[in-house]
Amino acid sequence: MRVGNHLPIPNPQRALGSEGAGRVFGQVLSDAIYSLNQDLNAADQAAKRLITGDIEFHDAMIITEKANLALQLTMAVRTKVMEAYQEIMRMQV
Amino acid sequence: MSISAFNIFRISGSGLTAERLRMDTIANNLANANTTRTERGGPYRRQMPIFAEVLSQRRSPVGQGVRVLGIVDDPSEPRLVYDPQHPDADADGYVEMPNINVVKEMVDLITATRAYEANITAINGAKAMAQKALEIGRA
Repeated sequence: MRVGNHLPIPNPQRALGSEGAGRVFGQVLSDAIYSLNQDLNAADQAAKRLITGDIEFHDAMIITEKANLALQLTMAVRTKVMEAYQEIMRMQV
Repeated sequence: MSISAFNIFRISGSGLTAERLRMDTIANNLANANTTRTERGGPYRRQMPIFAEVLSQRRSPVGQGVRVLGIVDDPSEPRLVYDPQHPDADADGYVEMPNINVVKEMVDLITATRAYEANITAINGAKAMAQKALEIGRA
């Protein structure tokens, strides 16, 4: 995964003038959550298809494991961002 | 998401599917170890799956797993068993039995099981690496 491609360092002037930087980061987070949601839906579908018998055990396990890993990754990114945000909010003005 | 950990899931997943199919053919061979009548006439013939590698579509030099080309029959001769009472016995009293060696099938069964486990170990290794990567910077 190349984060650099998705997170260009914003131009400070543009970032100050508009919500440019906010939109970029918001987009990244929104994309990540959309992707995560797709993985979770796929895991849900896999469980249903396993019951009806039209999917192999290992395929269902792999899809579930994929969703689990994607969730952990998203939560790790969220935690990092929240830490950074709180650090900045604690700054003395 | 094109994360390489997920790529390993796909590659090893194809290996799991292939070994499952191998297991299916072995089970079918064992079930038909004494079958003397088939649609095509003659005794059942041992089935073998043919596997082929999946090449990468993108520039990556790493292959993308395994796929099943098809299932072929073992061309070796049927076993001749002397059993004049058997309804399928020929004029000399010999019956053509399937070219299946049950011991060989058992060995193949163990090989398929171990190969399946090896693919699962690869998946677990990839997962462990991804989880370790998430620990970067934590404590």
